[in-house]
Amino acid sequence: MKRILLVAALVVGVGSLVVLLVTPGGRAQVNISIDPAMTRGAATAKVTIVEFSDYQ
Amino acid sequence: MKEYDGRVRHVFKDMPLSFHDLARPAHEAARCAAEAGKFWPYHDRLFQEQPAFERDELVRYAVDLGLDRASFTRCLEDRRFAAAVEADVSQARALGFNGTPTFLINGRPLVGAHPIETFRSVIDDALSAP
Repeated sequence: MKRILLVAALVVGVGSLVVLLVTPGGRAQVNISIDPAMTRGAATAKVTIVEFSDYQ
Repeated sequence: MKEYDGRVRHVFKDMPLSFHDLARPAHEAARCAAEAGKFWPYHDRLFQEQPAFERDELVRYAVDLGLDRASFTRCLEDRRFAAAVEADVSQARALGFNGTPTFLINGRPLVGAHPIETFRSVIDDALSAP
């Protein structure tokens, strides 16, 4: 895993979220798509857990 | 999740590992189930049945949930969601993730399976943040 020094900002929306990372290599922005069909809980929730998983 | 009703949203992202031969079709199948409104029950069934992910098994799990056999099979054969699964893998790679499960809790990475108390602690911290 990249060494993440800081999550500089997290912009949460209904259909996507943007993670701004500060790493030793510099700043990086990652756009994460959100499929509502693969989401549970309120879109307005204060906390968003994004789980990257493998079924196998 | 029940205890955090309304305060926590859970987003699932596909990250089939390359050395798991049967994982990618399973992830594509789950998206076919999602299209039919059955993502979470299908997701739960896959975790119960792992690693029994041959084509016939993936179809049987869908049929058990009441999904139409013909359209589900067509979805799998067409690999309708191959690009969507790959997009998730690319996003994981961009974040530097290379193992599963990996979580982002309001942006804070949590790598690997942890006791529920660890999740509660991180979630409670995030909930109490201004």
